[in-house]
Amino acid sequence: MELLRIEAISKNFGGVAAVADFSLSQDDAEISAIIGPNGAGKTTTFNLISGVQEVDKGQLHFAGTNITRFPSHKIQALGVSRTFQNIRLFDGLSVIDNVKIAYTSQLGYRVFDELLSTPRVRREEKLIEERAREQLSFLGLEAHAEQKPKNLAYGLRRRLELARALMSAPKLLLLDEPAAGLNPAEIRELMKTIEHIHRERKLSVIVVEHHMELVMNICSRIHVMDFGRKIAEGTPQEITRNEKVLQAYLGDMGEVC
Amino acid sequence: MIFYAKVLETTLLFTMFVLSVYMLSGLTGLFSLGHGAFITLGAYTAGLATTRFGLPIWLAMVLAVVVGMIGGLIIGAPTLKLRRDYFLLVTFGFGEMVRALLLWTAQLTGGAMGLAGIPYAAELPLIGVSTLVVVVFVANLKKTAFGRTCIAIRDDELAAQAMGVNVYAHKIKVFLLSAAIASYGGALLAFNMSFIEPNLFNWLESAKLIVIIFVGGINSVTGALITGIFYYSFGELFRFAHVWRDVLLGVLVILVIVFRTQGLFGNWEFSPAWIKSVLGRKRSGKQGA
Repeated sequence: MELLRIEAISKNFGGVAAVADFSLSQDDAEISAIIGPNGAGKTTTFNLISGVQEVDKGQLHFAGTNITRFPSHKIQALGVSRTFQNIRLFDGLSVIDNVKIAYTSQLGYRVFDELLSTPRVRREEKLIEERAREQLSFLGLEAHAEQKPKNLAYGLRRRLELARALMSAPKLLLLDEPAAGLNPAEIRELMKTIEHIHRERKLSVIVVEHHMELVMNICSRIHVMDFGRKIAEGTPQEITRNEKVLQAYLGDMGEVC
Repeated sequence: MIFYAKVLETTLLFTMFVLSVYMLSGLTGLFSLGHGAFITLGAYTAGLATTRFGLPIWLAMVLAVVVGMIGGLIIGAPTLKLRRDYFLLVTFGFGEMVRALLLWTAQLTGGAMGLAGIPYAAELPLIGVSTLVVVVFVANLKKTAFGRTCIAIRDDELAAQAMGVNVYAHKIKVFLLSAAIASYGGALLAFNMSFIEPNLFNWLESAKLIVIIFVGGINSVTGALITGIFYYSFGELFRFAHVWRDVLLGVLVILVIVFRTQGLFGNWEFSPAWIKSVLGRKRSGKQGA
């Protein structure tokens, strides 16, 4: 069933079209990828889906709701979760509290409960703690729960972002270059993790990634962007044989030959 | 004895102000140079309500908090969407505006002559209990989702928003709570001093509250509390060295910024769990020896 539908969205930054007439359809329980050269508009597309930036033109639909003008916290509450290309963790919070933040939209208690620290707060805090620990152990971070994210190794920080994104039990997970800065062993680990998440949590995943091995191995559908436009879409096999894609990545070979 | 009681009263009141700023500046990273305006607003509302309109004390206090929160909403609603530096400038302007307004409406407020004859109603027990309640409130908030969200906003607004935090709404909540505490404290101050004037709390005093929080450590309520108590009682107890108080604070600020950026108290909090852990360590130490 269709989970996310993007209808011809555009975004301009002072005359430069970062994203132009981009469309995409994503089913639930599908892993797909958006690839393209640097500056093709992949991250901007993620920012538009998650509401971090506002769409200039076009529409976004998620699970039957028009989310085009939604602020990002509302989109997250509907079930879209994301990670960032340049890791954005909360350094003032411990590892487990970083994860707990993503629970905000589901929070049952109010400020007045908190002021008085009512039993309701204590009950729910216990539940939040349990769920946060679950995410941490799911990604093998339970030993670092009380540490500050700054003290974690780079690979673990990436995993923490993933744990935080999973805390809200999202329907759609957006991963922005999850393999950036990881070594080959860590990338293989990451591929396993993504497939594991996908299988266990039954959620839909879109990755923006440069690492072709990862994309080709785990994604069932690939969207290729160049200069803000979609130039190709298909299965990994189709994409590797696509003329336009080769041209975008390697330049116009005709001129050289 | 009376002298020490007086010192304690003043210290506790100012500690309450420190705590109101703690949530705003320490936890959420929003700097208000006009926080004194809320204290002044609270004090004047309480003073005018009792002297000019003959309202009962308790009603005057409720009114002071309401007026403070309305002031907070008027200033906060348009500016909390802006960048933090603009927020700082607007609150600075707000502080000066309140001062000017009080001077201009001299017929009602007494202007530069101040407002005298406010009933002396806030004695040590009331101030003590009020401060304690505020400490408990702030400590409770810091422990739960409210405090976590504050810190998340302080560290990375964009990421917080993407993780489901309504950043703007939360900032408004923090600012209103902070304004409410400040104006309540202001009302107590009026009922404690019996005389107030527009220069009661200028922007420099507001800035000092922020400095105290940074010296104590932005992640520690305990730090804000102890530093506040120390700073404000020092000035009263060592009157002869009164001038040196700010010099000492200045030196302390420089030392903290250079050698201990997390503040004197870092992440440490005084709590039952901490007492238990200390006692536990001592006991196991004795067994070992």
